[in-house]
Amino acid sequence: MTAPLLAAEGLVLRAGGAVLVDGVGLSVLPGEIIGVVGPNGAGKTSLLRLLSGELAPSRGSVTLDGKPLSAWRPLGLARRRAVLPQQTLLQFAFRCLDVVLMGRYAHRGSPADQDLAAARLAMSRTDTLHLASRLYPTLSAGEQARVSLARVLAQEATVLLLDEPTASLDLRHQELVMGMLRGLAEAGAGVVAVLHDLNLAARFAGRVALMSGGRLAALAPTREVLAADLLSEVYRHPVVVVPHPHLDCPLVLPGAG
Amino acid sequence: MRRTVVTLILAALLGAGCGGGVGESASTTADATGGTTAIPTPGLPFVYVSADGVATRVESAARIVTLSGDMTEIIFALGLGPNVVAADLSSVYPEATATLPKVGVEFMLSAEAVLAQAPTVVIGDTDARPLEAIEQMRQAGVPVVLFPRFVGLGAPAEKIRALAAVLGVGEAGEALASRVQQEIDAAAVRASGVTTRPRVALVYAASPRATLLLGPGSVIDGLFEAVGAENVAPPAGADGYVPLSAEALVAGDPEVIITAERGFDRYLGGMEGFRQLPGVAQTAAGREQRILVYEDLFLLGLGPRTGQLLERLFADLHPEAAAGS
Amino acid sequence: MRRRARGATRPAEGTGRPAGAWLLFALLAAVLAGGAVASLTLGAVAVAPGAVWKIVLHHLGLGGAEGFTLQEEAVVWSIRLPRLLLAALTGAGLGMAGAALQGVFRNPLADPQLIGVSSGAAFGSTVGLAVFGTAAWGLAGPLFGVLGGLAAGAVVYVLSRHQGRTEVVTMVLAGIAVTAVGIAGAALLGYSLRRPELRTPLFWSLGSLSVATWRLVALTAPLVTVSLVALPFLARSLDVMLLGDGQARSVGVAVERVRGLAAGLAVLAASATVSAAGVIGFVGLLAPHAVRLTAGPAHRRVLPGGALAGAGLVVLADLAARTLASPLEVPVGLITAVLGGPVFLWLLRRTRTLHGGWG
Repeated sequence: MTAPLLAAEGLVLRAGGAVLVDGVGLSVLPGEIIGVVGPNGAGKTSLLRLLSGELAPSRGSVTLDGKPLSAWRPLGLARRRAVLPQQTLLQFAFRCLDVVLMGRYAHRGSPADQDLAAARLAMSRTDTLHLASRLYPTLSAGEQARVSLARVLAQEATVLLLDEPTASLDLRHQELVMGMLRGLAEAGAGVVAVLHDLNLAARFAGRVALMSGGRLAALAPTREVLAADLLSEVYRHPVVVVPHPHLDCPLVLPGAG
Repeated sequence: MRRTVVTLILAALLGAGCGGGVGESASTTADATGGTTAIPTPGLPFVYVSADGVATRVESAARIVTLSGDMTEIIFALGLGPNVVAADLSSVYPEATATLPKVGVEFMLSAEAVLAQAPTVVIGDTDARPLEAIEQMRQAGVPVVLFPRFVGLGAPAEKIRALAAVLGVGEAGEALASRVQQEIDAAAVRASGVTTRPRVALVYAASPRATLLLGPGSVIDGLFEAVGAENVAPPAGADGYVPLSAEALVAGDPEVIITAERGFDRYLGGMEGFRQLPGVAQTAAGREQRILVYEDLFLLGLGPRTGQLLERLFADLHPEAAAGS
Repeated sequence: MRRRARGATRPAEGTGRPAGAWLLFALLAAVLAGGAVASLTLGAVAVAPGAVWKIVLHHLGLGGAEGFTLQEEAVVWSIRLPRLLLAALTGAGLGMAGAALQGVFRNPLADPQLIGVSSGAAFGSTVGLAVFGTAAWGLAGPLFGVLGGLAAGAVVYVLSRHQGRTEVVTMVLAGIAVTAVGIAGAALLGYSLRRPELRTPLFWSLGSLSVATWRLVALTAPLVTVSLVALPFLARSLDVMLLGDGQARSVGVAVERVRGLAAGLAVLAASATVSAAGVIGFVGLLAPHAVRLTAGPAHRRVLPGGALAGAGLVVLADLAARTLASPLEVPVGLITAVLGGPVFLWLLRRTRTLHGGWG
């Protein structure tokens, strides 16, 4: 049994009298993509922020490589795990290449050309190389999202925690990004991605964490979680799950209301 | 914030305008005047401990720059007029000062403007600002003598003697001081004979925003007593004056108000504006319009003409007695 | 050395930016040099550049005492040179402080005067001088000035932080309020205590370099230099912090520490200049912004560039201040305000249109 890269146990998060995350446990193994899905307000982003260490849980713990997050120094942590938030608000007119290079911050001893190579590789993986000299604030939402993702990739971390990496992307780029993430996972990375599109989870996630009201309604291989009755209950709307006509995965559709 | 900036721009422009027409300070005239047409200054070199505690050694009075009108007047009266190469804007007497290059005002000094005149000594008093300008001049090797504030009827003679010593003309100073003191003492004798002592207040408009009352303990301490009048202004504070307040004026109820000319014209807007000052209209002086205006340096300079001032004041305040004598 | 190398090798995307940066720095250096020469030669006493040079050499022990008159020497060495150095220090300190504060507040409109740090320093300085006078060379002035600046900056910072971001409107409003209190406090103390070393309200609110002496330069230089030297080391971290606290932390930046250090150094430099020369506004806004517009927002350029541009700006503004209405002096802060006010308003508009709203 391979040791998990990231392991969370009994996570509880309380804020302002509300319980945002209630007793969630999760481990991320190398080589897998976990898709985190659920309705709005189910606690997906909060869970991700607990996993990244941005928020401290009211109860429970998160360990990275067996060590609790609080015991990690920021630089070391950044070299092992990378986080993509839902949005990056950058007011200053940096070039995209500079934004991506920010992801190399934790690699202190790394020479300039190595940083540059990592940045360029990350940008080519997200189809943003042609945007290198463009000013970040002038890009479209989708382009900005891909550049931010490139920044995350440039960190060369083994664990990737991504909050809706495909939200602003068009169809082609969604496929591109998810396919790229699958490639990274196959090379040994562990990916946790909050996805709003169930079908992306269906196609690319090995396991799915279905969240509802701060709790884990299910954490299991994709086919098991993407079941019509479970989804209908959690999303409070009829859901139909059929086999995909061309690919070997389920296809999730809204049913008759 | 913007409004403040606009106000300050206007203020600065006004200030610049008032100070304009003054640009003659730029000449670095190489003409070595004064010193060579030898006015003997046998008392030099002389060491004077300035009001700020710095022992200042004066070696030559060949090129004098003065920073205060009363000092200028005394220096001219001592016969050292030709040695004065530049003065401040308040130096308006004697007439020769009109052609002197001006170096600005004493409370906003530019060390460079003064040094441009290549002075061998700079004469000022405790009103000189900023202190750094004095420091800069001293660091440049120029002796800067700062006199303390001399107060009261003994002030003219004290000032004259002090200035004369610093400039090495002790004998001339002694002669002048004695004469001036005699005139002042004569005034006191004159005053002792009057039967009525009118109530008087001295209102002085020092700047557009500062109108002051000069009472006992101020620079004119004893002045009105020496002309048979009673100074009804409140005693001066630590700075030598009290800001004008309607209450103080009405409480004293002067029969005559005396004021200086420049502030009267420039800051108060003449007789009309003066009568609208707080409290003036409620005083006897205001009602009977007994407001006397004198030239600034003549009134407040406390110098060689103070004896004449006392005579004039006596005549203005006691017309019946003056007519008789 | 490695930090400088990072990014120096640019991909051949042909942005022209690196060449632009060098050109800008050369231009700024030339402006500063030209302003310096003009400051030393122009004034009530006209001194030829050659004479200035000889005077400087002579005082450094490298030359004889010929080629200039005593008067010229006095003016150049005792008045103009300290004044020039103080102007350059003030401009550099304010320029770099403004650049750093813009990084800390994550807003291009932050500047020491706008956020109340400058007037806090004025008030603090006045208190220090009121209590301790000019003892110990007047060290109380800058030391208490720094304390005052820190206090004012902290108040504005805390008030304007909301949900992890700084609200620019709150920041400016809080800055206005703190500025008013600070300046009023300094003026009140000065007015009621009536001691000359406490200076006039006009000095505090609009600044003046006429008070420059070697003593003042010696007091101010160490404090400003510490910041000038230390802040550029934070350049990369400040860049990354522009992504937002959360992201910066996840990338490995010790956000609180960098922020505290950068803000502290910025306030140190700004306060030191204020206690020496009063509040000279808009320099911390104009200088970094000029650099940002031409050489991009990377702090490794904006920090030193802001210092260089600020120095040139204040030197030239001071030259204008003392020659426009000679022999009277226009307060130097008035000149920077006349220049900076309209630029600030333009900046407000530009920030809005470029970035789609208040940050």
